[in-house]
Amino acid sequence: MKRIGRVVSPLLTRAHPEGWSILERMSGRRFSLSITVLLSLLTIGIIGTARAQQSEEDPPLASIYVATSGAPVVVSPGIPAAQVDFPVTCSIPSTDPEGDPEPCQLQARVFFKAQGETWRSLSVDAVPGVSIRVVLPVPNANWVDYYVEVIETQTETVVYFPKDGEDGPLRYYIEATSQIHQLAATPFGSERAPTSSFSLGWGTSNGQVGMVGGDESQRIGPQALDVTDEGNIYLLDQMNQRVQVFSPSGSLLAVQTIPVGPLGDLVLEDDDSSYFVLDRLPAGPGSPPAIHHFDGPLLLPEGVSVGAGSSLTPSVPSPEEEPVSLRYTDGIVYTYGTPSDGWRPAMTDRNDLSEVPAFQITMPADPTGIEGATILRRVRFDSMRADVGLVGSTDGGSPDLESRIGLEPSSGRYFGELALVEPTPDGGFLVVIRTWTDQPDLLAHHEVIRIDGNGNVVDQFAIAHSEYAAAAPLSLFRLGGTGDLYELWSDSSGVQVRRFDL
Amino acid sequence: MSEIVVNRGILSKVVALVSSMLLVLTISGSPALANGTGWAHANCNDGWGSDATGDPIPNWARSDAKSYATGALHEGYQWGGGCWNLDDSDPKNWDPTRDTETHGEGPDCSGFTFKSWALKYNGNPGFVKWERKDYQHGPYPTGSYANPETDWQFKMFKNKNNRKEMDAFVLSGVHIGFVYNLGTTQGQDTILEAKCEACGVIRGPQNYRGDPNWLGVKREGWSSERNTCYGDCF
Repeated sequence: MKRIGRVVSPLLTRAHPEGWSILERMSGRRFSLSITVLLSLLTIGIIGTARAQQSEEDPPLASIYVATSGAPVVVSPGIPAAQVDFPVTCSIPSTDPEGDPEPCQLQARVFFKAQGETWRSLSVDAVPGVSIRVVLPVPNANWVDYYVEVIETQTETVVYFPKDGEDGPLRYYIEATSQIHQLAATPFGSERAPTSSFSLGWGTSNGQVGMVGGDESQRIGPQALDVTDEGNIYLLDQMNQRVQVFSPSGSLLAVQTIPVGPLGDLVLEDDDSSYFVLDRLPAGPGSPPAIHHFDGPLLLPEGVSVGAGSSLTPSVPSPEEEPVSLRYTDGIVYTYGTPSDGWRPAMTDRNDLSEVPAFQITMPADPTGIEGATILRRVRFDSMRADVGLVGSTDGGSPDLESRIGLEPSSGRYFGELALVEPTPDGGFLVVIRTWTDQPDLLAHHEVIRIDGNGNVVDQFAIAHSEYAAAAPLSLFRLGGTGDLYELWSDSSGVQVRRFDL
Repeated sequence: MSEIVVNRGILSKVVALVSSMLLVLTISGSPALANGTGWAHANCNDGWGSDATGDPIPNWARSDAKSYATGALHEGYQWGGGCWNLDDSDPKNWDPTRDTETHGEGPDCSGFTFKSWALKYNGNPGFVKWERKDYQHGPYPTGSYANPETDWQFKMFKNKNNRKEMDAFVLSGVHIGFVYNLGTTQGQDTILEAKCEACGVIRGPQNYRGDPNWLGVKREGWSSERNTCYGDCF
């Protein structure tokens, strides 16, 4: 009522300097006091009714989560259609804060456009808790763009994936299968040892790394590393809320205290003078993620706090999106997240995003001599195929698939995570991919493959470990500024930073 | 609390059963929520220890489990817990770890599995709806999920590539997490898991499938999906 009064009273009171109320000035007539009171009550009634109607007509929005990891990337020409199921979950929050969510009713439509054609649309089946089934044509074109509209009919919640107008559509390329490599399994015991490595024990002292005990004996250790052009290693030791910098031989160079949560990622800026940290949980469970940018020289006295630096809010397409990884290339910070399962430029105050191509299912990279190109990567959900491609255009036109390879595991093996994909100057690729088997007596390991611009495998070796321990992350890889491959490996005794010359 | 690895011998099974019972009493806290100042004392129902505190229900499909478990996303984590609300926060996310007596918000990973799979305490078939406000952990630590008895309602599966949504990957004595979505473009799976005290319940890509120490475990006896199901659904 107070708010209504604040709206109504200027209309009716004779507060105007000339002694006229607003309504009187609008009508050109002065009102008697009784008329003024009557009009006041009438106006209050109208506004109050409108507000009541508004609150009754505004049901809570449904929470819709769609995973796009099943989206096709490359399809063969001549097949009748490309079909993919996108898992979808949906719930309507209860108006009772203590109540359980309500089930949803969904409708969905796919909008698609083949190269050279106009946008079209089709209705598609959507079952909450199961999937949205999208069936798309395979025309005589190089690619098809598409996005999906999902409507929860009871709440009239409408979502798009990808988010229309900001992230660009999904895309699949139409190209005949070529250059499929079935990887020969590296015999166990023939793995390549690192060129150099150093170890850090668990702990809170400088030169140690922190870990947290979760369930039973789970360990959660450092989440990320990046390497400068000189080979110095930045290690995100978030459990101790700090970044530690080590020389190539493992000597501690600097420690910077930073306020971060337990999970995140780190990436150096191009000139190595600053770095970005993705902070997934800056204020604990449920807190929105942040990207911190810490300026500062590489070498600082130990223990110097640098404060929060500048903080950025990652651009996310929906409230359900959760960024989990960072990349930095061409002056832009990208985040990778779920459920979009793709990379997108983060909103920063230093970057002009107007020229950034924003395609899903692409990983931005910094290929030498190919400006504006991006890397295409995908492991099929059945673990039996990995596709890697280079998407780019040197003529300023729409990006096309310029080169592509397919990888298949050797007999009896499967693919796990595609840990690293980098283009090489000769137009080929460097790929690090885990291979595993369901035979319990055989180990899994990461295969490192170099493929030249002609599609020939020029080098392949495996990286294995004697102990697959309970620490998380199990291992992660980065291509350092030196051009060598770096691995952060965790086990029961601590972490190892390992370098493999390429 | 260290985990005891069970082999197939009878004596080992007895030891495992006794150990599980002791572990339940330990990690569930005894006495229950009658004393203490943790979040759960003011916000949860004290109902652990028997089937009587759960609501028998006729159906529980994978989508039901997924919806139920998703409600815990962004809530807290409590070793030996527990219960949670739906406010997407944990008021004390830096509680001391591995302490069952802090009674904070949230489940731990094995308790999260028990409640989301609507399992019964006695291992019998059927479903029990555990309200999220019931301070429940259930009788199974991760070692039980990694090595179930033959008459329990969950089983191992050998080829982890055959995982389905709301199956789980387990590392005995360490951790267990749900398969939330199959596959990512980078060859992982989206996992929903009660991760750690500071992390709470999180969702994101993990490499559990490709690690030989992690095993696949699935609940048995799921109800059919009540809506249209495509192909070889469950």
